Amino acid sequence: MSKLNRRDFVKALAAVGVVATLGKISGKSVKDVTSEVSRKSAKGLYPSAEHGARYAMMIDSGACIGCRTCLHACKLENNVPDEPSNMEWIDLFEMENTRPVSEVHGMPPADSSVDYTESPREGHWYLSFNCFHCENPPCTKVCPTGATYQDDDGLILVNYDLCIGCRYCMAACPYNARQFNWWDPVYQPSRVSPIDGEIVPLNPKVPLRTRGVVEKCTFCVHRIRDGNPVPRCVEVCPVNARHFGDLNDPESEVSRLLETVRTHRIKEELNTKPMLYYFTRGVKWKDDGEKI
Amino acid sequence: MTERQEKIMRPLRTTSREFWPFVTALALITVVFIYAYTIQLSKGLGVTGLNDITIWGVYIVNFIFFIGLSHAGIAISAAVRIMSLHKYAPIARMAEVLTLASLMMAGSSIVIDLGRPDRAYLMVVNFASRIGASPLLWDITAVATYLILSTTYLYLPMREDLAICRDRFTGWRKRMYEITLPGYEVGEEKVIKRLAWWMAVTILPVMVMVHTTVSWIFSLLSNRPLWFGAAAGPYFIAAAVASGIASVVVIAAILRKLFHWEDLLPPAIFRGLGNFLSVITLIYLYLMLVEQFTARYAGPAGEFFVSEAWLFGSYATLFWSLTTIGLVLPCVYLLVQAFRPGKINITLTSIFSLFIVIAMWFKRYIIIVPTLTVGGSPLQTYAPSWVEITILGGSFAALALIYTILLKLIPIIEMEEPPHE
Ligand code: SF4
Repeated sequence: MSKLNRRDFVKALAAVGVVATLGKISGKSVKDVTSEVSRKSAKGLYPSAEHGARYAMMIDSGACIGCRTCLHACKLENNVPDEPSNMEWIDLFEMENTRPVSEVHGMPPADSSVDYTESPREGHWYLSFNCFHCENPPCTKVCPTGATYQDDDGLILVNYDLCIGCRYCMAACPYNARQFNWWDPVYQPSRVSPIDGEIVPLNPKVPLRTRGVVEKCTFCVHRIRDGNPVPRCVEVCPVNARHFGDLNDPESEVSRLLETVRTHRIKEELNTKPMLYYFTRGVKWKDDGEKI
Repeated sequence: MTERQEKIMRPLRTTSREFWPFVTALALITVVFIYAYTIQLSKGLGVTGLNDITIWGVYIVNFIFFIGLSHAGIAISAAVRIMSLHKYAPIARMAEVLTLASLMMAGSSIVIDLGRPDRAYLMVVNFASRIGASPLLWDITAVATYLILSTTYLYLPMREDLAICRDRFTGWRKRMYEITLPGYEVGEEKVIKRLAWWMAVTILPVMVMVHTTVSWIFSLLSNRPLWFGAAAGPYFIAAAVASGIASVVVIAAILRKLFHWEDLLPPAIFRGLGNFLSVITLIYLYLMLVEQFTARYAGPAGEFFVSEAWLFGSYATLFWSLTTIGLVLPCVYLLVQAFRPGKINITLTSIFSLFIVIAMWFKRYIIIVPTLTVGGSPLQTYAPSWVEITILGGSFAALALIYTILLKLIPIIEMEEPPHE
């Protein structure tokens, strides 16, 4: 190959590269291309998203009695492994009454208790966390494979088949909402078939995870996209502290709540625009069942 | 064959009595390292001390550390080439080989940290859609580019020396050198020299970008105090330069003693490297100071608590010993030496350089771990497990093993006599 030829060849190669890249992303933001690829590859894992919905959850932190019903219902609903036992999609923290939410800096709050044995307790309130499904998620941006992505209805999901377990998304999440499968998931004997040792998924609609991938709250994507109006945690809450709905639907419960109560979100300064709102109706829970 | 060439070929020609026990020991540690990794592969990352709060630990520290070491080779040899610093030519290749070996270890550190290493190829498959977004992918791309460039950069100017080796040896060794020399022509050095000069010019900015992208993995995360910030790039580069140059000083001193290369590696080289090292360590200390001052003056929650943990909390012993013994002390010694004309003490210079190298590993640990644990649940703290410690020790043994093997195969000093200035 003469010198000139070689140079031409390199030039042609560069041109092909540029054209291919431009053709791929022209007219679309990088984010769109990314989510398109991810959504396509996650097909079959979740029901497809309804266009135009914007799901949000609102937690009445004044009403919550810290009973952990949501936490356990969630574990069953979503086939969350029983071992390791701290694998939970919802975290509940017992806070001193004098601690405002806005003072929470570390996540989870440093002087709170996760392993309280009695609730509700005088002088305390309960802060619950699950994935915030941010409108501007920092976690999906950093993923090197597109395993975690934002869907059309705003849900942040993980495609467990694409995740390489680098845990970069966990580093990027300001809310510690993500859990990693450090071990093979272990289920209690009652959830394992005595005949062939296969795991009997309590919920066949939710895919099982393997060791080495990241998982987290999905807002019960298999329910809300399949005719069931609310996630399991919202359904089971005995004091109705959790509310869920579509913010784009003015008639939904969350839309109406947003108009009537004062709300706030956590770490707004990070511009993540979380879809989990907290509110109280202005009173704190008291031991005699009355409100102060 | 000139006397100089014979001297340089000493490690290739002769094998001392201590060589085999040494290599066997390194190989054994490497085997234990591989064994520990297979345990992790079969059981999961749960065998580490990591948890959902402290998601990264020793492996990521290793990754940053090895990337830092890899800096040395290119910085030295590119600077030698571009600025015609012939005085340092004898250490150029030593440094380049260190680049190569530590880049390999950096790559494996990342793979070791993955939960599903079997799927690592997905980063390539989904490259087009993810390269616009993920700093981790930027970094892997940068490191791969750096690896390819620096291997080429090491290899091309070395062909001349490999040809000398080919003519010097007989039997299987001759054939081995023949294989490494496709299309070799006598007199090609002239073209290669020009090529290498231009490569040096290209490599320097790539080197800067590699260390900057490593810092971006962390410094672009707005939720992580003391990771987030614009100064992370220069901060990381300073650390990389310091640890890289320091490790070259250590290696050069060891080889000098081992192969009696006193005249090939004159004290002037160590003096120059020591001077440079003192300045760069001083810059690093200065960057640490401004960082701490910013974190503490107004004391915003995140930064302040992490800084408290560094200076007075559970990481204080580590922090203060690495800063005083590992950075300030060597810096002062090297500065004093820089201002005193006359003979220099090569042994002390290399010992203090070793201090800097070790301090830089622990400094990366201090950067990574407290930011994750502080503010997190007190139930989940981090201490490396035996698997992690074995892998840590093993990766250093593997690095030494790769280096030793390369030392036996290629002339570690350029054969051509540097022109006298
Ligand atoms: S852990 Fe999985 S989902 Fe998270 S960034 Fe890495 S590959 Fe993506």
